[in-house]
Amino acid sequence: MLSRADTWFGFALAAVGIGLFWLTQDIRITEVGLVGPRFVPQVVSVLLTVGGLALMVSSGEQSGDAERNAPWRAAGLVAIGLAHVYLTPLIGYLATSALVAAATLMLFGIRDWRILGVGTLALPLIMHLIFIELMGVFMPRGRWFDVLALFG
Amino acid sequence: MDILDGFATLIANPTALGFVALAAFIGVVIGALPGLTAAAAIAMLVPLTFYLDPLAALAFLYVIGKSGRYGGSVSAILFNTPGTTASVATMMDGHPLAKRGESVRALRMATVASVSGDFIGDIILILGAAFIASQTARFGPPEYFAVYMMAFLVIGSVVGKSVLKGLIATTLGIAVAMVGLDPITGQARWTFGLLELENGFTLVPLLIGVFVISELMIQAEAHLTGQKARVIDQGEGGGGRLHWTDVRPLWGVITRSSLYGAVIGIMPGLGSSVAAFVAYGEEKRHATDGEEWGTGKLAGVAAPEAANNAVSGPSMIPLLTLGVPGTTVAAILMGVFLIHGIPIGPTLFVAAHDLIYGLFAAGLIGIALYGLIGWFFGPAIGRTIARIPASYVYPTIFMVTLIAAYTGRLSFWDVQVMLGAGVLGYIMRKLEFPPAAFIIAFILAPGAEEALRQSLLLSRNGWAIFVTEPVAAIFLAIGLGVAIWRGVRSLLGRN
Repeated sequence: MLSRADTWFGFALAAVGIGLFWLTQDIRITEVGLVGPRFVPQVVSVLLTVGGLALMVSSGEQSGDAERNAPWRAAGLVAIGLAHVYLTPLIGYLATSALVAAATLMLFGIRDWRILGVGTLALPLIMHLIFIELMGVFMPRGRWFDVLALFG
Repeated sequence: MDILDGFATLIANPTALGFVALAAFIGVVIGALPGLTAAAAIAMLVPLTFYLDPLAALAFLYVIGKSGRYGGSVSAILFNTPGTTASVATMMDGHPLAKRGESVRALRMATVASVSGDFIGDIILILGAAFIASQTARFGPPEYFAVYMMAFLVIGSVVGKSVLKGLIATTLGIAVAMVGLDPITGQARWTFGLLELENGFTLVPLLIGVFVISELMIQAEAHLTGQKARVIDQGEGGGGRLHWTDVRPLWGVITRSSLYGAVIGIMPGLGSSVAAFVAYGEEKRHATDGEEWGTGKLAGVAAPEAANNAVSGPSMIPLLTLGVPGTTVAAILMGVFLIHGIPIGPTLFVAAHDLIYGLFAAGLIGIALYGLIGWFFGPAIGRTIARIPASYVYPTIFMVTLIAAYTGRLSFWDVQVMLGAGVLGYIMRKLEFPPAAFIIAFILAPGAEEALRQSLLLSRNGWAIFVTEPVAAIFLAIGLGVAIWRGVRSLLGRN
């Protein structure tokens, strides 16, 4: 069932397709004929534009917006992930993961302080043991601070 | 026989054997967890396999796919919540059996049917794949391009509810694959001047983002509050027992359903849920007591479970012989082949003979192991899972994904790509675009472009080469035919 959201998505897709087609002008046509590095990107961007327009045109049966739950929580999860990316190089993996664990548990509705406390301590330790110690994944130390520095 | 070489290869690799056993258990647990599909779990576990040898890595993920398909029946029967989309059909008769106090009987029927279907499917894989590979060894670039185009058109038009949305998802996947340096001329394409984009997007962050992060976002949005699944009290009967006299009359149902599953498994884009429903519908239609299906018939559990699991082996045939993954799990396995530097295609059976037959042997052993786990521990696994609130599980999975995406190239850029792919996957799922079509197209696009450019370099007739080469013309015709047929059906359905 197509909806108003499909119309907007189709518009965005068509706009992206047009933009990508414009960007393909920077790709040189090589001496190896017309089907060079520019060809497939151009075809794909045209198809995206056509697909977006078709989606806009064919979303004639407007069923209204999809059921809304709490979309801000979905966005919140992404924000927590981005915080992990930017904080880990600064304060190290263990400290960052503790904050991420606490925030994520709260996002998923955990309010019991005992469970929050256990999760905040246990999850980062378990991840550290499995990935960094056991599997040997290299994780840089935090530039400002790192819990591991306390243990030498 | 080659399969005996495969068993010898596997037995000589205790690490691989150990991971097969672990995978049999993990898959059953993951399949039983509502909301986490086997494909999502496999995507998340791919980085763990970087440090394993190719056989252990592939066997681990392949067996998780098999046992995960079976594991979906546990929550379908016990909680009336399908663990996988394919187990929705199992739920229709499985849960009524559980409500009558016969949950163990239902679970064991599901186990027998799943193991039988999976074995039949794997026999078809082992016998069929090598033969088909010997035929496709003669393919050149025009035939390969035609196969890729057929895959784009078939998967785009069959996967998902809307042909238009499926084809758009496919096109998006191809577009994302074009980002980076052109492999022949080295020119930058859609890199926006970013050094990180010169090597393009890598598969693992996209996989985890599109399948796992998007699911976590949807679950977070649904605002879980510590809900637990409700398990029905089995009373004094303890769940009932499955007797040989219950199973014997159903061998016909199991065998036919397995064949439905095997045939559907070979075709790209269809998958387990289609097989399960086709088998359920056909067996119900031909049953003498068809009107009682849906009230708790053992045959109503056997048919979808046999078909669902019979898909697993044959779905590997297009991957191993043509390099075209027909299911999400096959697409992920293709990524693992590439990560370990193993070229996919008809030469695979020559270049990696021991690996392939070792993988087949791992599949057969994995089936036996998940069958034993399910028979003896299925109810206990279900009851244990019921005690764990989903709001504990999802944060743990999120923590795993954050480090799993980083692990491949030790890059926080990949974690950001994963989150971006998660947003894209979330939007796609909300608007009913099929994420599987996007991922499969992303994986196939580089090979398709290479085959296209090679074909036109070789051709004296230009584009006509795809029509004058008969095999290429046939594959293109199949792809166009399926897409047009699906499009017409969709339009007629709306009118």
